[in-house]
Amino acid sequence: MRFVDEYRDPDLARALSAQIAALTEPGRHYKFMEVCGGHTHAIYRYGVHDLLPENIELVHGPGCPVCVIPMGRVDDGIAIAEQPGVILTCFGDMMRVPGGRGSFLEANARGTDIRMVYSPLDALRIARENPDRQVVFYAIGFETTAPSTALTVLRAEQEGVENFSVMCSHVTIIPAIKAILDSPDLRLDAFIGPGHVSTVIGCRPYEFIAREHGKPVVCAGFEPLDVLQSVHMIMKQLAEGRSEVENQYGRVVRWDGNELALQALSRVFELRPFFEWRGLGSIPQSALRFTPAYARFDAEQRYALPGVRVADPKACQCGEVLKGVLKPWECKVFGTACTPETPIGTCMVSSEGACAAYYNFGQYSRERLDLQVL
Amino acid sequence: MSAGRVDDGAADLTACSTDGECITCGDVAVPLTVVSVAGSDARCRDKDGREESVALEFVGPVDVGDRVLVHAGVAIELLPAAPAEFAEPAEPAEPVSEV
Repeated sequence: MRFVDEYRDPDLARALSAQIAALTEPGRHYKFMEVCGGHTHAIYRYGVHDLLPENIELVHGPGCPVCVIPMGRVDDGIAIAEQPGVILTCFGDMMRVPGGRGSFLEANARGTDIRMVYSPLDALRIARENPDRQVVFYAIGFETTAPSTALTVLRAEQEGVENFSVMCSHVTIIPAIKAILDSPDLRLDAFIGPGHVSTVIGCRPYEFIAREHGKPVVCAGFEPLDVLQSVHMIMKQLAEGRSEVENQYGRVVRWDGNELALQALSRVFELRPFFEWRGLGSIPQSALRFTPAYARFDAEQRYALPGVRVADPKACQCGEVLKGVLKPWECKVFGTACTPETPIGTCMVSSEGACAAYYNFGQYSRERLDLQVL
Repeated sequence: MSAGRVDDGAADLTACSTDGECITCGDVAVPLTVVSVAGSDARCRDKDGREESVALEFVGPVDVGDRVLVHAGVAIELLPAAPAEFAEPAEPAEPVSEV
């Protein structure tokens, strides 16, 4: 397959694997966090972790947009959908995320009109086609997705579409990484930086991690060889005593990101003082809200929302999984009460969620680990 | 169960489902080739010939044959030209009639 086989070549993978092994110090344990759920998915899908030496551990970060949505925000979305005449639109994975009052799918079974869309621009099209209805886009995602929401709002303004609004739960990656760095639970040696988020924000925002925390960051692509090469680049930095930000995904990511996308973001959105992340708690300036100039598109101002904080189910340990403290299979309900078909926690919902990725692709490794325990 | 954007009868490139992979939630971006441009939007095609409409505001002017990285119906980066041996045809090749 064009463009793909080059990044999945088994001979190259074996060569990189050997080079990585040659850089390891005997007796040292290495712990790298892949921040992005897309990397988690690739690591389990292609068995990248099986190509690494035993003393290199990859832990999963909070970079799955669905996984970090707290249950109360799901309930807020349902409350909007229950308003007369409202069509709520959202991305597909969001439909199954459990809230305190069930999921969007379950709300539809009770009579709401919640529709999946691929793009916020599709939500705007639905608004144009239904001028007698209010159409709300339930916006989630990191900086990869937030520009598309900003662009949609700018187009709605330009076209004068008044029956369109957005419930904004967009989050930003840097404050989440800061929260993890400040967490006493976790000792990390380096980060595999997100690929497509970096397409928008560039590599520069990660420099504080290398400079102030002394930890290498390598922005990486999503093919198995991308991940392996980024691990090799990290190992080379550690072996040479360097801590820098490097860009493995140079075929896509520019150092300064996408200026046009950043301009649209800053025109439509500003930072919220605080936002609650599932598992990480309330993190200052970690999410987006509308600027006053675009507040008329803010669904949170159009509708009265419960805004109630809902505690996660007691059995759910998504918080520890999102912080990389627990492996998915170490959760008490993993694969038993909590499965992709009947998720209890958000990490089991999206295919990029660590639990779902592990459930779908990681059985062999789990069995191997179980055998080691025995 | 799935829903997605099927443009003008083209194959469903943009499926987003509750029981499969949600490419938007997954932070997935796909490289597509521009096949036509109309104002701020382009028709773009993937390697399997599936098409979708793509907003161009974040990449500036593009030409037919350019490659863009697309997330949620929006081009977020203009990609470097593919090496000649990997280049995707902008239009399907004309069928060769048998004589």
